[in-house]
Amino acid sequence: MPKVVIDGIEIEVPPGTTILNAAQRVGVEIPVFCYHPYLKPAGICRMCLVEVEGMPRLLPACITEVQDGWEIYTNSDRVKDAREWLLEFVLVNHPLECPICDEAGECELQNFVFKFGEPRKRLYDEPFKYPTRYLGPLIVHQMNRCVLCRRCVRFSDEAMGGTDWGVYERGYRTIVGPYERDVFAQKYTFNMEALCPVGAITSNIYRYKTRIWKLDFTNSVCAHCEVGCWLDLGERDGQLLKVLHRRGYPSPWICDKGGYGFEYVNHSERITVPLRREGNRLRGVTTDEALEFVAGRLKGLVESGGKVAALVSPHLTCEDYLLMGSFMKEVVGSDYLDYRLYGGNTYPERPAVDSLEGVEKAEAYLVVGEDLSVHHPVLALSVAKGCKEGRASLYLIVTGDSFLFKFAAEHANPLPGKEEKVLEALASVLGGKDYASLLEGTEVSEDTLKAMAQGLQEKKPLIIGGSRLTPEGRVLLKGVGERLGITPLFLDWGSNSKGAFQMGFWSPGGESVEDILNKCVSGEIKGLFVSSMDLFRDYPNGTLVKEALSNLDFLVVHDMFFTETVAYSDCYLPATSFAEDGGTVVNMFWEAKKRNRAFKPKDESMPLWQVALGLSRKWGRPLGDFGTVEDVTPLVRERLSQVVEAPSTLGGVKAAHLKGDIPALFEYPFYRAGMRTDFCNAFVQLVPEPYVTLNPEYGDELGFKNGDIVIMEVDGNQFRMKLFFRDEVPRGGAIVSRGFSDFPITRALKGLWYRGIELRAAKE
Amino acid sequence: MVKLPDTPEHNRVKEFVSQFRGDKGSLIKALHFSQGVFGYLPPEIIEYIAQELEIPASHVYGVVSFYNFFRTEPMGEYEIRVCLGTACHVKGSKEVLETLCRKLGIKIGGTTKDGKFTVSTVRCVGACPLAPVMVIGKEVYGRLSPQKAWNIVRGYYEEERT
Ligand code: SF4
Ligand code: SF4
Ligand code: FES
Ligand code: FES
Repeated sequence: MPKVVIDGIEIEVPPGTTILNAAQRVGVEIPVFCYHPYLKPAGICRMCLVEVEGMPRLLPACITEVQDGWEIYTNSDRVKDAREWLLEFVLVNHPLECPICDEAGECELQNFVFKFGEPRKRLYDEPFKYPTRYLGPLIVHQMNRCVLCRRCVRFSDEAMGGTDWGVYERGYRTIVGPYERDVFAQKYTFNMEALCPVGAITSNIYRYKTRIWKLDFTNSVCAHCEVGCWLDLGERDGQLLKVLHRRGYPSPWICDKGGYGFEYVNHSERITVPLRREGNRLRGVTTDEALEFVAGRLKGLVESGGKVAALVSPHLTCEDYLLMGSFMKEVVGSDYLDYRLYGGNTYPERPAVDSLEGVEKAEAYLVVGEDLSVHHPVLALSVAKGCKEGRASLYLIVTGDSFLFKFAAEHANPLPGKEEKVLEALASVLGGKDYASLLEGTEVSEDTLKAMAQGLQEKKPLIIGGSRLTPEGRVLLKGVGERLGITPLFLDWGSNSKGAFQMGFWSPGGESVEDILNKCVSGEIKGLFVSSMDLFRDYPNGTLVKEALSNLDFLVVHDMFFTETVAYSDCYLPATSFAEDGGTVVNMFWEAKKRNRAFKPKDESMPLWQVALGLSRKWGRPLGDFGTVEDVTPLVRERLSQVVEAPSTLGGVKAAHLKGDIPALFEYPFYRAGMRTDFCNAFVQLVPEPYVTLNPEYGDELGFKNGDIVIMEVDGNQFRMKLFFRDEVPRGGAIVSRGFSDFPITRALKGLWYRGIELRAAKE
Repeated sequence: MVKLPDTPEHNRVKEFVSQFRGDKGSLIKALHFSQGVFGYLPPEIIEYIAQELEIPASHVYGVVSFYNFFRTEPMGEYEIRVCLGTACHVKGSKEVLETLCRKLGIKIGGTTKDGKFTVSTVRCVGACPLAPVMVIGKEVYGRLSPQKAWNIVRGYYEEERT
């Protein structure tokens, strides 16, 4: 192993270590611009030059591998001079607009000039005068401030497999940015902004809001999906203004939902006082009165023999589920509670891998039934990383995948609703049975399937079952797994489904949300408690939701906004956002992590666990003596260590969803998936209204044009929407967007996310 | 998806590029051939090549703009190349260049609307004693002033009229 001396400190390092990494080991700082620990070293900027005894020239530390016996100086006069000169050159054309630059305070150029620069300017030239590009609601690109480190371009290439972000021209005239589009929002844009060492890429959401040193940062966990990325929430005066991802867990990258999807926390339309229905009006009341009223009404219903149910969003904390569950089961005596409000009838299962690193190491992947980049975005990046440079092979059985297909060895893109048929066919191929008939009407070729089966037998795959799989689909996938000797990783909706399940927040009789809603319609359930979810937006059967809610005697909604569900309520209780209260969440690998409170709840807002506690007190049977969320956490820890058996769920799925001309998949657009995204202004601007997408060739065949206005008809209901052509949609099918609280699109659905639709051109 | 129109030129490009579907390494070849057909690289060709070779269009444009050889605008009948080498620079070739661009109403690398002239730059054509120098077609013009250069260029229009 080579031995080197760095600034007088001797160290032995493995062969192939760069000077920079060796220096980091002994705690010597070398300034860098283009180097980044999670990108491939590029050696572009020369900020990292160091001196090696006996070498005529200074060497770039980030790309030079050490050799035995080298004596390295990172602070000699020559090195200092080089740094000064480099910074002087960078500043010749730099606009020096730190006072109006959002990066100031965390700008690496600023820091280096303070630390290593020399306050002099010997060359005079014009500052750069490139136009500022407002690239849509997420980011602003100011080429003037760019130091050409290309971290942004390298991220786009290395992690995302290339996007519309490149380097143009050369030398002094080099510029970076998008080529084709004026709006840049590519699911992982946040990382490009975060990687930029200067203020060349900045956030549009944070623009001119405050200064970085005025923010207080709190460690927390993202509430949008169950990857559970760690976030640092930057608060000032009770507003959440900026999110950073400093601690790099579970991945060095996060997605735009985590990085930019927090605007709902400060939204001006939040209702932060309890409301109580009086005839046609909702009147503001005190928390005490509201809790008294709710407890009283629920008690009345129970005493007169009615049933009460609770439906709670899968984005809350374990503390919430635990106390609300206890309240429902022990105090109210209800057997109907559920968190699976996105629909579906599966419960979480234990996976075979335990970390994203584990995912990255797999030799092959089989992904079925979910566009990972939409519902588990960072998991998609890990799969992509595993596939880099042709290392692992990726096999997809996913309708309309919009990101991972770039890396796929084989991509079966079945017609909507046919993913599980193809999966069945795959199981048959592996079992040496006849499969051709299973592929009929799926638009997947036998060759694709054969190649897939062969690939899967050659290399041991990681099997990922997406949130779209039905219980039957999961059984099929487990069968495939058994044949290959692997336990699949099953994904769930929401950010804490695993936690809700583990806390026992489900009906002991195995009833699904659909069953509960049906019982509301039949009158068996008379009172309903809904928390933090607009059923009309997310539950895939708007008609059933409407019938159920209209038929209730009493509906309480605990939420942040006046949603359509709230419009049906008899009492509204204001909810906190994920930043206003802490708690335990369980990620997709069943790891429990802690969210922390970044600032105190707005006005009267309360987390669900407090509501449950308050109600139990008013009921006369207090759940316990809990002051803060930390008092509940020990109970949660205990529950997390127990083994929980799920009830059986097979046989609940009804067919006949696909009658109609065109089979369609109803799927969230990326910027609409996750928690409360319809109150994130930037996301609303990106995807303002629902739309239908078709494959361009199929669209041509049907006589439509990209951008047409069409009428979609389902069961006599008509929806007027825009039509777009997208290559990822399978021929013969359609993908319809969902996730719009102000557009009744879930009325087209019947409990699953597939439906047959009819399309025709709208008359002018 | 980009679809190229059905013209003989476009079909030649389609035929050539389709040999390299998905092969990122053939980018320069594809660009070179297409420029040979059209004389320059229009945006739809850049996008088409990107699509066929499965490279982001931004990267294709990155390559196109990196090499001097590739052009994104059609070439004029005459190419005016103004020397920006050291000797010419010292003698004021920048002013010559700026004047020509201004009078012709184009940027460096651009072509006049009537398709007559393209203005580009070179580094030293080996005629330093005559600095500042410009080359039009095969003719070398030296000892220029901005006005003199413009008179010469105007001469090309007049020549046509007579
Ligand atoms: S925009 Fe930022 S990250 Fe990209 S090259 Fe310029 S300085 Fe580097
Ligand atoms: S939405 Fe999921 S992947 Fe994106 S930042 Fe949040 S936890 Fe991470
Ligand atoms: S950090 Fe070493 S060259 Fe940029
Ligand atoms: S510098 Fe112009 S001809 Fe040599």
